[in-house]
Amino acid sequence: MIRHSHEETVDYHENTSRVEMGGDMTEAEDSIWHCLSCGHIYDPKLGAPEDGIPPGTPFEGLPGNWTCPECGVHKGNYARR
Amino acid sequence: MAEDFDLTTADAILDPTPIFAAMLQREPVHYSPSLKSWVIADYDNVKLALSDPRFSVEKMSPFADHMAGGADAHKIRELTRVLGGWMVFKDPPAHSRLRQVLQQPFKPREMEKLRPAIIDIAEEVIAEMAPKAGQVVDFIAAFANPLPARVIGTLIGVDVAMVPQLTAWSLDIAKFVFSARDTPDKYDRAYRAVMDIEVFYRQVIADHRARPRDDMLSHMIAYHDDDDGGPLTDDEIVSMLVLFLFAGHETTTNLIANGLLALLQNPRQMAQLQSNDALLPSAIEEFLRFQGPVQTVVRIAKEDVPMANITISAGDRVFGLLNASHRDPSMFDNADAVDIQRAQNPHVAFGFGIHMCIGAPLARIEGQEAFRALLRHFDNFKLETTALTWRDDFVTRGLETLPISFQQRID
Repeated sequence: MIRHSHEETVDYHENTSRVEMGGDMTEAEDSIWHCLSCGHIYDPKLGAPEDGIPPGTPFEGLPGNWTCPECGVHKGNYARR
Repeated sequence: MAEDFDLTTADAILDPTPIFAAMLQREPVHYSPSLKSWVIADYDNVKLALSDPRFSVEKMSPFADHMAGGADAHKIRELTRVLGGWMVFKDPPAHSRLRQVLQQPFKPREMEKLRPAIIDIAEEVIAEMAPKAGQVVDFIAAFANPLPARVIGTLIGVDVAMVPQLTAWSLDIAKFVFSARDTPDKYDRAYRAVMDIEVFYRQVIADHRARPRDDMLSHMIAYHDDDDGGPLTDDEIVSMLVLFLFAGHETTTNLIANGLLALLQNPRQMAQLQSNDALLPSAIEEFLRFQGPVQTVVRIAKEDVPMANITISAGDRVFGLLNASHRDPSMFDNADAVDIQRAQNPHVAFGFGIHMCIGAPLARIEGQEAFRALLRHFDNFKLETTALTWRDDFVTRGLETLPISFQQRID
């Protein structure tokens, strides 16, 4: 197993649709994720407004085809911090 | 006594992975007397060398100084004038100014706007290749070379008819930058290429100044930041245009060709990708890891840097072996196997840190659309040689030719 395997990852082939946000986020939903390719940080509190992702969207709620806004790698190459 | 793992022998050029494995096991950071440099093979320290500000990328001027007394001194001075302007050879703050100009236009969101044009180019190259179905063809000449060359031409905004000439100039410059051992007249060829390409680009810039349009070059001309040194000079723009072609062409050619070779040598992986194009993004990442187009990066230590159990002294040169770090078993499971479904793939094929390849989003799209088009139109790919010829080049990893045969899909 690769060294960062303790970090939670997502299946990049999943077909996750955008989730409607409401109420308080759970601790897991609040987690910050980082791109293993370039180091970009996805903070669910901020979302990714430039991609139409509203603040409060957990990483797991990002569309399956979402890519890193800095380097373009697929979502599966992010790991939880 | 330190071993001198020699990556320049014929056997090592054919397959460097046994030497990578020996380095990783015995001396992942070692001094090479033959290279007069430190060589780093393990993932953590390669990533450190790529991203730590104690390492500099400014190595053109020391090289020019070193060659100042030689017969080619004038040519090297001119080459340094143009190529030394590349942001890949500049530390901050000079790097930051040049990078900032291109940061926004090269973002994935902007590059996605190019995807339809890239699909059209891939289809165009496929149509030219299709009549050769059933024959032995050089995949590099037929597909892997022309596709990225036309994409870069489109991105810059030059007439596509000029692309073959631009490609030829780019190859001559590569002989100098990558210190080709098989080209004794490399300084002369690179000098003439740079002089010719400079004349050509100055005309293109003048034309874009007179008639601005919606392309990368017009964006660069229009860029102006009072806090950051004003607009780009023509010298800076010429330098960056030469870099675009150089950095965006051969590396992507190698990505596509090395990727197809990986599939040809791993039929199960080929079958998986043929049956599921949703695997394209992770397949491209695996091609970048398994046989990345750039094998080595060079840095100069600006101060003493402790690393492993040694200290790299200020002024020392360091080679970071990207492709060795991709075989580091402490980082990658089954590192020597091709797995296009690898769940996580934190390779450093595009570098890491402030010098990470700005064209990574474009290369990813090109790779995805190249293989999508290939696998949609053709099948029955066969490798038509048992003796692959790799370029005699320590810095990049690419084949001279890739003889294959294929059939047109009939479904």
